[in-house]
Amino acid sequence: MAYVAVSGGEEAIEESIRLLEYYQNSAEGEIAVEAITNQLSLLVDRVMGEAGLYSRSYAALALRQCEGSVEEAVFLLRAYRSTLTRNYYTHAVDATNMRVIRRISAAFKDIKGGQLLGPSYDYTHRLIKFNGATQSPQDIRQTLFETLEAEQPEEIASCPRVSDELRSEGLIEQAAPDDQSPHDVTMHMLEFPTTRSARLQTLARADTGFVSGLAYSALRGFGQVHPTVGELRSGYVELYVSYLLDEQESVYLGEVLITEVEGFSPAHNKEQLKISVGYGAVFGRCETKAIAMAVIDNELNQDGPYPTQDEEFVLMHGDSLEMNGFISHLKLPHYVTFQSKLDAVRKTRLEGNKSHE
Amino acid sequence: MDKRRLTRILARADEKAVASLAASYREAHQPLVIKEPEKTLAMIKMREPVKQSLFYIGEVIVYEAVVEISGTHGVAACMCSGKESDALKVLNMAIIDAALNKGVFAEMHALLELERQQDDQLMKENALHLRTMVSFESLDQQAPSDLNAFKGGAK
Amino acid sequence: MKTSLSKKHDFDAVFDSQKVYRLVLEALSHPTKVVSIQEHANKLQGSNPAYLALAMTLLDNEVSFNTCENRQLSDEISSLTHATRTVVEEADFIFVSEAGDWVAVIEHAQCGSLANPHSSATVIVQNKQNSGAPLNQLTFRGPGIDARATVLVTQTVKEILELRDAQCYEYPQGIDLIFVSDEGALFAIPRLVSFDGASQADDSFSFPPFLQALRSLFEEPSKLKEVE
Repeated sequence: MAYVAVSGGEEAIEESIRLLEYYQNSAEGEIAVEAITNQLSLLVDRVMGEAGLYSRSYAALALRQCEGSVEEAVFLLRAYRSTLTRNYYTHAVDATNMRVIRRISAAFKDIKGGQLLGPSYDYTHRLIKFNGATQSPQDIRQTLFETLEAEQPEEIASCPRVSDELRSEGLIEQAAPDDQSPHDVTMHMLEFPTTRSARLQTLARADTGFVSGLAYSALRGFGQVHPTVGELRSGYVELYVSYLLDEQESVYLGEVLITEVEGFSPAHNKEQLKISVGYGAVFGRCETKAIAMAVIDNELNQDGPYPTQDEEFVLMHGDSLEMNGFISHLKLPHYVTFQSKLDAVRKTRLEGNKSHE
Repeated sequence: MDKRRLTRILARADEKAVASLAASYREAHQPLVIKEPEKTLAMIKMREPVKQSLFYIGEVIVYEAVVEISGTHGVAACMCSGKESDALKVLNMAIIDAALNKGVFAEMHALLELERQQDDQLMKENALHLRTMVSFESLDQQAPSDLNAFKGGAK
Repeated sequence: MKTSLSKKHDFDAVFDSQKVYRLVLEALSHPTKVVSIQEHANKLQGSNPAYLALAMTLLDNEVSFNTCENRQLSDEISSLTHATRTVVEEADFIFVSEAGDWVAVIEHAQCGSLANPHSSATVIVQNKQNSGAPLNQLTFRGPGIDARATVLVTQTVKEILELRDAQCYEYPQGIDLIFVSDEGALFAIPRLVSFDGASQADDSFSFPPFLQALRSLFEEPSKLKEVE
């Protein structure tokens, strides 16, 4: 590929950056970072997931800096993250003990722990409120404060997994704990065939649109599975690391909000007659992505002709930075390459004209 | 009190509460900073339920600091919340840790009170969320919608 | 982040470790050349500032180390770098003094594998200032040395090198040695550097100025500048 080194254009670039500032600030009203973390929290969740970096305020800051562009914000976060050391690896988080805010199952009506709707847009009427909310934000906050104050505290109990019930029946394979050290795609390139850990990590940080589109294609027939959401749970999981001065002790770092999905579908092993499970897990409340991830996990477990069953196809093309980076690199000067292509076309036309004379 | 419980209380507390807990030990013991508050990453390792295998879901930004009170070290690490006060909070957490390790920390009751308040707040939020629990009224008695229908027993 | 509390160490985790790294790299690339990390080691407090300076530069949470039973050093290194403590056989970095059990270290330090020769140990030996005991003249050959370099080393350094050779590592396996004095004078002998000649030096020899200066270096590292 022939790239051309060009000089000049520094002034134009400076002016371009200045113009960008004008575009960003031409109207009154600077958005506070808190406004983005709170009122655009699902966008923040998406950016954190695709960057692979859980930091609400930095994701919000990045979004504000680039006019809300998800691809730019992901780039900013990944670039920042690459300047930091990584001194800790958490102890394995098991979301069975999640402090749920939402937890539903499409496979079963009555589940231990109940169907908890939580905060979701699934049950709202999709009507744009042209005059804003009926109550002002301050009033809503006041109501929330008063309601919380008056609430009777309820003991927090974790919900057992729906799939664990089926496991105890023998309907779902019960796997033994596999403590093999996970592959880290941020340190080592993907090699095929990959491991399960590489697959899950790659999908968790993949572009939401890509993952969703692939899953949709599988559901529409370009795939083998049409799973049922056995369980979707959104909530907080606690992070612990070893205490530096005594490995027997643990230190609490904080909580992160994640969404986990287990999708059930009949297994193809006719002899065994079990349910096979696909798994998805993402940062934040990105439910569609988590479900899509579970669909794809299930597809990748089967061999077949569909794109969603091709590991390399699925895992190599979903990374936001790589995908958007490669597409936008086409804007780089390709003068020489294109010139030679043009010359080839002209030459062919010339020869074609000559042969007609 | 083990480190797990201690750090959970301090991490969830606000910066001012942690600062006031650490204040007297700062004054009395002049802690030395071994490692200034600095950002680092923690890679989150998760256990997935299907194959019970481990994978990395992503990283989280964490502040950490190390101090020393007369030869005894104190260490703290805490998720970054994006506030400017994060660095100071983790430093104060490290001072409290050193004070505990040295055996001079005397405000257990304050920690327990903080914990009680924090748990209370979480339980109230939980109650708010539990309002969204569905209580079904089945229109069709025949529907095999109960997970426990397989077992044929009561819930 | 600046705090109002006083810092124990002035060593900057970024800038000082960068400088120490460059010096160590120079030492490894030009075996037998002596560099000084004194300026940077002085910014660290503890039982062994030179070791700590090297630890801050070379170690992080992804590697393991061993300090040959020196618990205090081990604690210091652990809290500064998050590196994992482990046994000699598995350590990526081993800190041992001349007075310590370097025999066990050289005999058991991991030497990598044929496929991954780099997964070997780097052994950092602290040597004392020469107490006037006779030095040995050794001639070194290998990558980074122009043909040959003849230098004077203490008896212990010679014995360590001989024991290293006695392990008969199969190329490209091996261990890399870094020698540092408690005054911060450092030189390195990577695995492919070999030596011969073990004659005891005596004063009837007249050494060229370079070698004389080098000899005095082990006694007075402040003379480093003259060597350059």
